[in-house]
Amino acid sequence: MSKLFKSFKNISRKPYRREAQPPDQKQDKDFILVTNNLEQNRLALKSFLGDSPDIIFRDVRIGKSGLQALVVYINGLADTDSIADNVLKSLISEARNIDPVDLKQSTIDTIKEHVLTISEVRETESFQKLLNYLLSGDTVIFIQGLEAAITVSARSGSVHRNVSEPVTEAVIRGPREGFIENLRLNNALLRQRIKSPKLRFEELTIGSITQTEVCIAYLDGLADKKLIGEVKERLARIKIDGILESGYLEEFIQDAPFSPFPTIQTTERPDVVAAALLEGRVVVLTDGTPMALIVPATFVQFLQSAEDYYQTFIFASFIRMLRFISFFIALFMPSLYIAVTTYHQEMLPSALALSFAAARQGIPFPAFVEALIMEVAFEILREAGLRLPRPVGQAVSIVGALVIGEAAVRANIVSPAMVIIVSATAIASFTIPGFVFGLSVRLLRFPIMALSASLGFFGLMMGGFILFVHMASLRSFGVPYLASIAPANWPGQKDIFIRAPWWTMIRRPLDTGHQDPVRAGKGQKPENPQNKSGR
Amino acid sequence: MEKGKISVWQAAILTLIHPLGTGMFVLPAFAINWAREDAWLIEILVTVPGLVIVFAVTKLGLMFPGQTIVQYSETILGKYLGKLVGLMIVWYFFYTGTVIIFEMASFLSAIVMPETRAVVFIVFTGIVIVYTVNYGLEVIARLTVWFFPIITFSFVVIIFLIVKEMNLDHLRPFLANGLKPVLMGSLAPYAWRGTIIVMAMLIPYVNQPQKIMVPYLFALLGLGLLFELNTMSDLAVFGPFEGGRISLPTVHLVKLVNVADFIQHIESVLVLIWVGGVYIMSNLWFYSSALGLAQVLKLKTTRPLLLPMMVVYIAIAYTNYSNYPEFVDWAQRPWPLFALLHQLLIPVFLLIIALIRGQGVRQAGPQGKG
Repeated sequence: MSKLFKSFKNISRKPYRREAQPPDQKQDKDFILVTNNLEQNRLALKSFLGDSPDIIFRDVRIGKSGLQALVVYINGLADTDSIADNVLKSLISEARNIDPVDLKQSTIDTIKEHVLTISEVRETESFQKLLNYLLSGDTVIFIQGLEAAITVSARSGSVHRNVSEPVTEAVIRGPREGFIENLRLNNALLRQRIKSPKLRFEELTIGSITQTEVCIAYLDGLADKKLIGEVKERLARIKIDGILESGYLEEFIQDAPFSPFPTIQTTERPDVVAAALLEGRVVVLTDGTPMALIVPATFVQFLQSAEDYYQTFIFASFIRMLRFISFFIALFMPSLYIAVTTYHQEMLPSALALSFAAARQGIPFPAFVEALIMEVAFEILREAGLRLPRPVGQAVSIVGALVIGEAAVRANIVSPAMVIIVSATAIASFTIPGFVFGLSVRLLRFPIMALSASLGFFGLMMGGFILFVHMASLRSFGVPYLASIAPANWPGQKDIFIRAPWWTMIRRPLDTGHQDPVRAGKGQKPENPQNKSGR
Repeated sequence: MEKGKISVWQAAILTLIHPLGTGMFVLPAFAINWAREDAWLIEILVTVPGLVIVFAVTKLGLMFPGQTIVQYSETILGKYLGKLVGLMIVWYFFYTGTVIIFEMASFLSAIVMPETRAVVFIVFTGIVIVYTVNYGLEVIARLTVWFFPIITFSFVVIIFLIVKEMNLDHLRPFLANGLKPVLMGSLAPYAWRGTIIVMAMLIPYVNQPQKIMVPYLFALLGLGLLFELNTMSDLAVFGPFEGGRISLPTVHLVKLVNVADFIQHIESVLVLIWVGGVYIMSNLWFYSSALGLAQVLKLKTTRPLLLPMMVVYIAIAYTNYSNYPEFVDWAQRPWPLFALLHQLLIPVFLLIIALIRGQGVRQAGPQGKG
């Protein structure tokens, strides 16, 4: 629709529009180089960093030569023990073999090669790089008379919690590990699952102030090169001061910013990410959050749970169909009830119609208002339960159950039938595994309710059409949002409404796995060995 | 213009399903009214002109690859006459679309929601159609392909549930009144079958146009089969006289459904079929007319046309008929001739001229022969 109006918008567009200035990233520190004067370097560093007490400046003299050096690190980020052992001790007492006369490049090499007993040592000349290292927890060593600084990576292993079970995506059967806030560890969790040289991580830094590390993960040769390029390009375009959660990135890189439907899947499960990588998708991991972004994401992904692939396929297929049904219930059930009780009573069998009518007797509101009250009340309760401290949350749910379930019906404000409808809708919406997708379903329920309250079945259908058309027109990184459903394709049906057994899913999904389509060997259906021998 | 591509089977399903939603309800009455016991013959009879259309449209589509009927009519007939014929076709799509919208709206406001005026339905459907058509053919095709199983399935289930009410004696005697009433009665059903002409607008956007023949025939015959089932069950249930007197026999047919006192009053399923069918058909036809007009006017995109066209569309749909009987009268008398001209005569005429003038690409393959 947006394009439709764009043709009109062109007319009203003002000829001059100043481009918003991107946040100034280039400061003079780019151009300041390390000098050979130690005091100058110290002053420069202090002018950049201010007088924060957590930045430690430690003066030392190297070996017996008495050559002045300055060790700088950030208390808490750097590993003080390691610095004391491997940097300070080495510099002061073990550096006996340096000739103070030779203050050329060889000194740095000598120090690197003979003195510092730490694995990661770099040589830096500009202050910008140096500051980056320092602020990420590295230790910087300046040496009097040298126009370069040595950075030593002795990080304390930043503060993080332990790997624990993901709260938002619980499974009965399946791994219990979830991502944590530390990017390196998350990378390690993936490496543990995919021990392949093809697993690639590419890192870039986003956020002019926070300098957040963002990592693109993909399987080389499996993921489409164009897709990887597209992801990188979209990420590289982001100019913002800080990235605190992958949600920031999501809003910058998604295809349809105004759509209520998410076009990027989020997960905190390493196994889900590994499965996505094996399907040829690209994953974006962000430092500081356990939430990984999976692109491209299609509609069905939000109705699939990791467990579908671990359980028996018969049961998994049943659950999956159940989920589709509950998706429709969550979206349309209140609207259907409104339409039927308001306009199409004749549709119900007589007995049911009578009991509905009896239930609605004495209710002062039309069905739509009644449903609206209940739905809003329910959403408020849900939100309250989420935000409150856990012990209080229980109280809220008890009050909610009593008020909504009992008192409202007794007071003749809502009908018992409506209570059933609303609770059925709520429970159905909880079965949707993708939490973000559940949100959009909750939201979309209201306009559809309004449509069916004003136009009955007709309005309900039109609402459904608009939704379908909207979804069919969406794309996520070039892949149709309803891929395998519309446009429908046969091979895709193995993993949409049902989950076919693993030995039949020989090929990867068409839209993302086309680079290397075959995933399993043919003819692996387990057979009774007696049958095989031809008895 | 249109950048999307659809598959041949998507095109076939589009062609098959779009007239079903409306034809199902009104056609049996027309057929039974004229032909009485022989109404079941009609759908078989109108397959013949249908075959001609399939042949002509396929042949033309292959002779002028990448062109719609609007475009190749200009190639064949030259600038002025060609544009005139193109405009006629555009008008045909456009006008028919308004008629079916009116038909649905009057059904809804007469039977389903008596207190709501028809204009509400017309305007609302119009808005949704613009919204859909704006996204192009691919989205229309995706939507329609999903409606195909829903409509056919509910249709077959309804027929199945009503089997016990049928009396096949109503289908006899055979041709007791001669062939003339059958021919007269086949006019309106012909006009509905002939809507498969819409394929002439789709062929350039099909991914393998040379393979269009079989799916196209499938569309023609599948549509015929569903219409035939429909007419026959109406005739078998209501008989040759009552069936012709009721204006919407299929609706009454569905009202008879009663299984174990539980599955009853399922007319709302009809709302689903009818509204869905009309929505699909008018999407496709509004799309075709907008596309055709853009091609006549040599525009780069259809988008600027959509909103203004829809305003006119709604206005015509609202004002054209004052009531349903007026529509019925129109659909039985002038409409088949109007349809005959655009569905059958124009393509055949274009094909003959193109063959005489030796235009277009000659294909040696077996597909090209038709």
